[in-house]
Amino acid sequence: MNDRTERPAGHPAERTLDRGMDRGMDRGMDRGVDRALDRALDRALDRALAAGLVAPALPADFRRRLQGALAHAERQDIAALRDALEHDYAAQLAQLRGGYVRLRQRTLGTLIGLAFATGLAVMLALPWITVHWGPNGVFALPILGTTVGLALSLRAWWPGSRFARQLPW
Amino acid sequence: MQHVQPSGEGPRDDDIVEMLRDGAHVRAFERLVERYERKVFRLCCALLRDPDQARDAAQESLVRVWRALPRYDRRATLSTWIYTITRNRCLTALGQRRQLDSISDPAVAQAAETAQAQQAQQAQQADPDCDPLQLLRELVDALPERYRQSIILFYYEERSVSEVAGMLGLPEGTVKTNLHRARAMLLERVRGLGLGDLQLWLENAA
Repeated sequence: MNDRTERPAGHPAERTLDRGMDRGMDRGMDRGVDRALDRALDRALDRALAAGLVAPALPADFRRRLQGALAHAERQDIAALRDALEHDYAAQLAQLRGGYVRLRQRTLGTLIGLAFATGLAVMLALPWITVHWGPNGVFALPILGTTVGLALSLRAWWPGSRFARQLPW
Repeated sequence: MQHVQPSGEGPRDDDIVEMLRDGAHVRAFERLVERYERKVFRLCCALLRDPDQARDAAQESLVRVWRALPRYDRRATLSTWIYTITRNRCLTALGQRRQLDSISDPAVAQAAETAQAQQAQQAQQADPDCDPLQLLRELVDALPERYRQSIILFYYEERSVSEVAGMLGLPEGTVKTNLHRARAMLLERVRGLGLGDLQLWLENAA
């Protein structure tokens, strides 16, 4: 139901409504003016800030000082690197020494073990060797072992010698 | 790095990254310095306020960049990476400054909290006849830190929101909000000075 259509012109409610509409229009216009003023103020503030907040210039000696700082940092880096390398070198050397000692112990142990094992094997195989190769057959194995050992030594001590180069291994 | 070439035509980030990929670290760093030294210095100025400290912080940031350059893995853009290093260096400087202050005087911590409010009050009470730009700068200095940094860098970087966002490590929307609030606060504070026609005063200041 529309109240406005039933009220005669000049009715108090009608007059109130008209005044309200006028005020609404005024408020709308005011808001528009306010917005325009705000925009103008914003622009003025923007220009003032742009004039006031100028980016600081890089100090004249910035590059020179930067190069100095970089050179100093490089020297520090090199010193730190040298310390780190020396530390690594000492650690590696200690590791190598430890490994070398362990290798020598293992080699010695293996040689002693092999010598006793060979003696035991020859002792056990002696009857069979005597039966098949005669009474002097027992010398065949030591002679063979000595020959192989000498050849290995020769290759180890004089790897460039003509004889060592002729060896099959 | 032995020789930093004077500023010439601006190199692009892609070119610098390409040089890094090729292992030409010295040349890449020279280009990087050409491109970023001013921006790094401005960022340090905005964060630290003190030009001398800003110069030292900018230099140390670039030294850190040089040291870390072989480890740059391109996960972040070059500018983001450089600005992050710079911000971290500035935060360290600010932390050291706070530590020194607190060592020298235990009451300084409390004073620091009220300093900003006092600064704002002083700006409000400033003589309206003094240099308008100086007054405006004082008002900007009295803004809350996040607004102050955003608005200062915005004008340092010729009104580039994206550049400010990159430098401060913030989303662009946050920078826009900061700028809007900073302007609103500035207008409110300028109004509070009772300078008559505000627009005219601002026009004169510009």
